[in-house]
Amino acid sequence: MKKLIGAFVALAAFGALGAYIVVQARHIGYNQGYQPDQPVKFSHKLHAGELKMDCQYCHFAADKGRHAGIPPTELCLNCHTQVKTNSPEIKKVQEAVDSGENIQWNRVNFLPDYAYFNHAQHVNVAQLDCKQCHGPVDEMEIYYQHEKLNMGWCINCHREKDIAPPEDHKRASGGDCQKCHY
Amino acid sequence: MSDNKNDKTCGTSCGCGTPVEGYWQDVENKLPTEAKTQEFADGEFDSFSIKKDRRSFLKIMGFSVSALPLTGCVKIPVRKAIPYLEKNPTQYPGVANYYSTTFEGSPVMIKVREGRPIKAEGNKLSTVTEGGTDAQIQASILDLYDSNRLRSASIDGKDVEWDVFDNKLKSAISKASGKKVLVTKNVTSPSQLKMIAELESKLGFDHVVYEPVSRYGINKANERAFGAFAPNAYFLEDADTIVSFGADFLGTFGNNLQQSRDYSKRRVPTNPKGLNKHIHVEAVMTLTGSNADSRYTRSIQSQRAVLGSVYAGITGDTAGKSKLSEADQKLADFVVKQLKSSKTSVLMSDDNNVDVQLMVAAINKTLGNYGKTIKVIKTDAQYANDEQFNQLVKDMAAGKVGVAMFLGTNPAYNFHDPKAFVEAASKVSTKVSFALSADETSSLCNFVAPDNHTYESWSDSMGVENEVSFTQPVIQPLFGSRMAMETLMALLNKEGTFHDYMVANWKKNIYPAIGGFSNFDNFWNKALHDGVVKVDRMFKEVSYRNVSANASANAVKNIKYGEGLNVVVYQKFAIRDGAMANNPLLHEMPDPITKATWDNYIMVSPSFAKANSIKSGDVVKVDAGTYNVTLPAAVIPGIEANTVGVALGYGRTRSGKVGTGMGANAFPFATFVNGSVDYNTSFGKLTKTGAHRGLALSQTHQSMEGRDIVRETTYEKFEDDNGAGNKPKMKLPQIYPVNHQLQEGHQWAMAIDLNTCTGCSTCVVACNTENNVPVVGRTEVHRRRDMHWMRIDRYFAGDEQEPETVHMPMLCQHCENAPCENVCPVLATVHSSDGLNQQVYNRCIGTRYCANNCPYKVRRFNWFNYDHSDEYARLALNPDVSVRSRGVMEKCSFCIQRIQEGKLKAKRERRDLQPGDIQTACQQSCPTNAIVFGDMNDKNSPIAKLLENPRTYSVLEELNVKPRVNYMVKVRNKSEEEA
Repeated sequence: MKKLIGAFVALAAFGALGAYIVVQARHIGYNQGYQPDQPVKFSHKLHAGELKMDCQYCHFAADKGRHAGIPPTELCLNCHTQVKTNSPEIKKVQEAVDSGENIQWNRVNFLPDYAYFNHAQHVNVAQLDCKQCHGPVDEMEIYYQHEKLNMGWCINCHREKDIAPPEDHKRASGGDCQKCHY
Repeated sequence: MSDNKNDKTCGTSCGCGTPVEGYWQDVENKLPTEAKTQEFADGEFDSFSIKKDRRSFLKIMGFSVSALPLTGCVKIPVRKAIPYLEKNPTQYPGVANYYSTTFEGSPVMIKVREGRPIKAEGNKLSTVTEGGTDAQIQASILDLYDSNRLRSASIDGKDVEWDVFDNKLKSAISKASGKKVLVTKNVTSPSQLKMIAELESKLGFDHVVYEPVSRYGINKANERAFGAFAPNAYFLEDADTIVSFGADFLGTFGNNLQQSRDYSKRRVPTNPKGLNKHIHVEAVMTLTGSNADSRYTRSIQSQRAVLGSVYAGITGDTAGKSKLSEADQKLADFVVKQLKSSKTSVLMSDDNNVDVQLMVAAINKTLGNYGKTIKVIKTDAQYANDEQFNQLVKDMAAGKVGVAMFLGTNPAYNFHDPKAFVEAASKVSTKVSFALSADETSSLCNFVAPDNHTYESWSDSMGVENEVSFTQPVIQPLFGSRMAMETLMALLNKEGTFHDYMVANWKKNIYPAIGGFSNFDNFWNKALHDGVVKVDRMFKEVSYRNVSANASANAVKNIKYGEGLNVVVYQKFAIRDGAMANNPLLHEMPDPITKATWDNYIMVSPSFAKANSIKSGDVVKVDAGTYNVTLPAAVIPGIEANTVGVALGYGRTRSGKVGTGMGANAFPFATFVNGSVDYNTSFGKLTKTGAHRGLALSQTHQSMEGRDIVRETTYEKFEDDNGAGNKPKMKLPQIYPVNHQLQEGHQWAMAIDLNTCTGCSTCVVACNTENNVPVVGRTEVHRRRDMHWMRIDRYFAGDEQEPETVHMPMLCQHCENAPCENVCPVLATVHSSDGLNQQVYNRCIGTRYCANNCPYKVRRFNWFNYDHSDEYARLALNPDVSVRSRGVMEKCSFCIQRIQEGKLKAKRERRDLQPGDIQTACQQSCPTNAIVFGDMNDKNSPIAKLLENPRTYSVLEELNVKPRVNYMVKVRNKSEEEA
């Protein structure tokens, strides 16, 4: 009997471990919550939240093409030649523009090379709110990855919203592989 | 397939008993070769695998399992995002810009992503090319990124700054005694011509024009007959009959893009002007010859004799008439009859003999072709002069030349007597080379001033049809080079850039005569935007002066030829004169005729091979007395029995990682006769060496195995019934359920016209660059592991001396009932709702079942991680297409990235997709518009209409796999009696 219980416990422990590994492994590579420090202490909370600046003022390519675009460094100085010019953080920006040695931001969101994503289709065509994928940016002091940004997350949304044109998503698979992978 | 060919039964042991018509099973003996199937497997499983025993298996298994959990511990690397410092208002990340420019005289559009050029396309606004390209244009981007390019100016092998270089060169020039010479290629740029004129007048330079393969014969003949040292411009759309003596006008002769465009328009059998009749007489099989309705294999002597007889028949001057063999007489009579009976015609020859060209001119004059199908246009352009350059080499040898500058020319490699040139060069104290990368000539020069690549330069060039095409840089110079014209400006003590010079020249000298613009800036912006502009004033058509060709005909008749085997040198479509020999894309492009890659070889006829028991791949030595080469033989039909052909452009001794040392140089086989370089009249002998070097062929099986893969008919039959020759030959029992339900939305399909496709293979290179298809190299191609998503199958039929050829582009057929999909165990290849057969790289585990089950053999397996590590070459990769890794199957995707881009763009613009919004890379590159792609559900689209055409069929229709790629029956303009 003892042996049986022992075997049962061992089996349960093994099963639990397996389940734990599987659950954990599913998160490998998703990076949800990734929040690296940035070379310039830029606050989205201040700019997007309190000042209510339009996202596309800085992310200038979001309605044009694949990438939203990291704002050109010079763009910061549109305001910051007047505002807070003495801040040590702004000085870094000024210095980058003067010297030509550009700021190297730490990238937060990224999709693998084999997945094609186009900002313009979501911003321009579908008129989605940026927050839908990027979370409450207006509350983020330091920006972080809010959603999983994995394939299941993409497909779920596309299924639920039924946003794509009919021929694209009628089939039960939720879309053709080479809508994104090519 | 026309019915007139002898029916035989299928030669394989399959027992199907289906008749095989005409098409050959095998090039060398026209018999089924069962032994070959065994050879296929050779080298497939090579020694790179580890020891295959139980212990090593367990070791590796254990290591893999224990390493697995470690993958969970890996921290993602920090990736940097670097923004622009300043925003460029015309550039958005991820959005391509297109800029017009020019490559080797052809107007092109360059696709630029984030500042780096990634693809060259034709310029649709050019009326000359109408958007067509050739293989060199498609491969040109890789030359821009060639890491072998020179990085700095140098004097005597030591790198120097440009200002030091300029000062030293200036003082060397001022001190030099003797003649000062600038050697260039053909110069068609008005601004460059002006600069060269200044160099001549202010610094006393002489300008000598040199081309490795000159058209001196034609130009010189035109100088005598028209008073203009200029080439012929052909207008083939207006020609009912085209007779060509060796002129490869679809490939390497003349303005091939314009000629292909015009020719192909008359190859559509429903053209109201009718199908043209193309007669071709040549000694070795060229691309153009393989497209002819009637092709005749004749030695150079016979060609000239037949031409003399044709000259007599047309002009009535019997001076050129000699006694012909029965077959030659029949041919001459046939040509005369054809020319006389057609309303419009053209006769051309690539013979570099001036007298031959004068005869050709006289024939065309008598036929009234000038002004209609041929024009001689006088411009300021300077064309190669064989006599002048040979005189220059003599002067150099005699020590009369003090300064020689070589701009874009490499005579140390491609002069017909390179040894003499090298020796002569040693007598010149100041030699300047403007080479892009170190070459044979630059290694002789004490001053080396690396030139910019075309895509980093400014220029302009006069084409045909009064069109001037602009060259503008699409990227900053990548290496430490400088435009050659700016080096000349430094010598002339001119301030500013060549761009300033060019703008000033246009503003002052050319713009005032062009109307229709409010000011110069408007004109200039439009000209650079469009890339082309019509300037009628620069081009003047000249007319024939009444010269007699009588003496020429006599001279040609009395030419004495050497003894023995005739060695003919020719240009291949991809490699041409070898200037782009360091471009791997061009080496891996299978030659349209031989299907060989990565080498040159000696082409021999099947009858010669049989008589001397030579097999393809046997290394043979061709000795012409003064020069010899040792190369593998290639047994190819359509070669004259006493002639061997050797391709130019190989055997570079200083080119780069790819080009150096490949094959053997054939330029020295050319001879200097009567003031012009003759590429056809070297004679010698062939001996076997006993060695063997297998050719890396992309097509080793020539047979259709009794199936009607290619369907063809004759024009006579077509005129009676537009569906002639399009009856399916076989019917097999159905194994597939009824069609997929794929009727909604967009349904992509393609149609390829076998009549307008010339087999040039430009699409193959276009596909490679668009889809990041790796170059695998000679060994891998030899193992049949080439990665091309698209190939051109070539089949021969009929007589081995004078075969008929068909070219058939073959790519993934996107079958509705795709056999590959059923066998994939991991659903890595699936069908999409818009009718594409899609390959999902991330799912693929590399079983290769799909490739085995593909009836068209179009799937390609990545045996290795192919090299994309070169820091420059990798810049040419298309960022919208994954680079596939080892162990993954891949194949044509119908350019899914372009389909998606087109759809997304239409959505952004809130409109429906229009026909033409989406073009596949192969379709866009095609110089003859043989490929049409589109949505077959859009009833107004060209593709939907083509699918209704009675000429349309699908390959292996009997399998009922329902391909989405359709072909159109080939129609030959050949009468019953001829065949």
